Amino acid sequence: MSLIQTNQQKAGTKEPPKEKKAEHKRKAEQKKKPWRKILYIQQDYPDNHTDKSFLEFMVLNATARRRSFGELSLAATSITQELSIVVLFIVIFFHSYNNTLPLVHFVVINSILIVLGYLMFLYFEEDLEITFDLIFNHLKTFFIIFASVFGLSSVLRTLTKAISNDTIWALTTFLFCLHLFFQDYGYLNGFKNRFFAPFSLNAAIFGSVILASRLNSDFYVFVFLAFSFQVFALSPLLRHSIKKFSNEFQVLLTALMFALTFGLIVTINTLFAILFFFFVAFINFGSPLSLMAAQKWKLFIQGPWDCAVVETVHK
Amino acid sequence: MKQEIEITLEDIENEELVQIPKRKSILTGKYLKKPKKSYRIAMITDFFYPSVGGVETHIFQLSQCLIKRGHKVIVITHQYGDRNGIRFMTNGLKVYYIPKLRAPDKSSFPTVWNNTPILRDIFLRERIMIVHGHQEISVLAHEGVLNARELGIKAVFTEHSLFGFNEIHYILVNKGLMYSLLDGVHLICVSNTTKENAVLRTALSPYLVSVIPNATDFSRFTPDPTQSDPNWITIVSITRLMYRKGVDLMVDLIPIVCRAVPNVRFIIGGDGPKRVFIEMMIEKYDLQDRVKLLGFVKHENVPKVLVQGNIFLNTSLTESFCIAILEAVSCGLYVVATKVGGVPEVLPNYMISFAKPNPEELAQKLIEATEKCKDVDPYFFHKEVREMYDWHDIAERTEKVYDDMMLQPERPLFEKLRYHSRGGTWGALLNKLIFMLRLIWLFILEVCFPREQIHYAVDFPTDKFLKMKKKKLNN
Repeated sequence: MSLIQTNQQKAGTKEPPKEKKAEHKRKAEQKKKPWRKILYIQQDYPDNHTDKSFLEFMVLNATARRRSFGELSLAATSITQELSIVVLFIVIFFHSYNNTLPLVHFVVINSILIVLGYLMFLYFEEDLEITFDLIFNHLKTFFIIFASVFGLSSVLRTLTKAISNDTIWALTTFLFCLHLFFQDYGYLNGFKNRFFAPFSLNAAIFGSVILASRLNSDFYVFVFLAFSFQVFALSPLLRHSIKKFSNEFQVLLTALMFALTFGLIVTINTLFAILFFFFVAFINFGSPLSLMAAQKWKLFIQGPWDCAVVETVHK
Repeated sequence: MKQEIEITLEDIENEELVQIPKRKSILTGKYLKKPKKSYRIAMITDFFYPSVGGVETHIFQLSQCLIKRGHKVIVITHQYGDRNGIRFMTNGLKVYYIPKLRAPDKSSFPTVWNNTPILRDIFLRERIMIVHGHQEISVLAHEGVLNARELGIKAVFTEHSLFGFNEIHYILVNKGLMYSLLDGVHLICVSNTTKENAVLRTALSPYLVSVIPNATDFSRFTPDPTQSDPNWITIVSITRLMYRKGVDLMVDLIPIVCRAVPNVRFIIGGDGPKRVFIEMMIEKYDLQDRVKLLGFVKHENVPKVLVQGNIFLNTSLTESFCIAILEAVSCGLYVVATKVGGVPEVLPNYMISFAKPNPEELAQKLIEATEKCKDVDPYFFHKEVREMYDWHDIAERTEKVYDDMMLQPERPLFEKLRYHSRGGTWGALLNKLIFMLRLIWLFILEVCFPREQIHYAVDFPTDKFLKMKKKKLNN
């Protein structure tokens, strides 16, 4: 770099010694003009001069948000809830299939949970005018769906008679994985206000219908499908309003769900229970930690060289 | 009494008070002095004649000026259809059209081993001292620079455009340039904004980056006040009609300006995918007599179109150094442009006015410009811009870069390996492995086609040719 500078300094004219002193004095007193970021005049600096204003308009990470561990863990609780619900559902099916499910207890607990859940939904939900009309509409929809499931239960029981067990288990695994991947976690975390996950809901209902078709009696099928409707279609609404109402309740609910699921898995297989425990620990605490470790690599550079963005683009 | 002459930044901004010091070399003609040492330079790129464009003109003009200063210049590019082998252009400029597969966007396909034999042969038979690659998206330039560095030949790279950081194609292109510039290659950028952008993209030391602007052939762009219609204020815009050139802004601002100023008309030259929106706008606002669409304008006819105007409009969304506005000012037009990229550095305040890239502000500046352009003296503008940018000056500054490059010592191989330690543990290992493999390939080539057996090419007798040309002109 200094080589280019000395080339320019060397270019001078020969002067008689008397005038040289005065010239030197003048030059010493004359300050060097500041460097300007322009190309049309000759400046007293070499071509590779780097001014202290170099990169002064660069903006780094203007839109990036640094997230805290608590914030990320809290957001991950909705994924844990969904996972617990799916695993709980599978465990209930396992017991129903092996006829080890105490049916009367199950129906009673479910009914209490539905009523309690509905009351909590009405209490926690914001912007809800509790009028007789609203409750009547809710109950009407509820009864229509339950009545249709009751009516169709005998048909659904023989739906997959020609398909082998292995296909059903494989298909169900795949469908519930899809359900987990495409669920509307933004809604469940209270970030959005509209529940829009038709793909995941369809996958869950499809999975539960083909699982139900493996059961032995019509009543079993009805109870099972009612349970699946309650868990996959109605519980997201309740969980959304709980999360929006209070973060502590959300954590409490997640812990309760996890404990319940864990307790029920233990009745089947201890190894699976331990795996479930570690998997949930990874999702709820491990992945926030890894995201925070990756945050330091985030580099979003903006500056005057960026392509300008036009508001109205004609297409 | 000590008299301190203090010139603050504010004084300089107010350019009417301070005399603008022009480039001494252009005014006094001192650039015609013979350089200290004459070099043998190879310009290598994918973009050259017969394809026409900014980069092609840049390389051709720069080569011509360097030849006139006494250097020997050759150009290496890929074949264009039937055009392959060696051709000679003006003043003995030798052009090698080497066989290389062309990619859709005028560049070529990247290879690792294929071009080393032929490039090595060309560099050795022409006794090349400096390899000068142009334009980042040209794959051949990267290959040339890489091969030169491995052979121990000095290399310089010129960057003509701005690139982003976010998308995958930008990331790939940036990494490619970073790899090419690893081994002490000097980078020349066409504006200060391009320098900032290049330093960020390639993690290069800013002292290895010089800023040398472009120029254009001002003798072709002379003002002709007789061509412009005195009844109208004509706004000219010649550009490819695509998103990057800000056609959406043009479509929105033309109705505003036509409504505000009754005697203004637009001439739009150029073609592209967004042309249909301009035609739709003309129909919607009934501006058939106010807006004229010329379609594709050939490069020879551009001056004829420009002299018909009073104002030049440039609505680009990204521009590293806009040569179009230089051509416009050379024809005596006042310029209104969007403040993006390197455009604010090119012209002084009395020749250009800037606006943010939104239609309302651009329309406002255009309306103000319709008043300003009445005071403009086209011949004064032409003379001024001629003194600002000159190809001979650019050649002299490029030569200084070459001088600096030649003074740098050539490092031994072991030290060169150190340059490849970027990219983390595994990336560095991979880079070093590739470097070693390439050295083995060079060794094989050296065994099969030894240096001693390569006949030196006969140089074109440039001195005698130029003298003969001068004699003929004088007679």
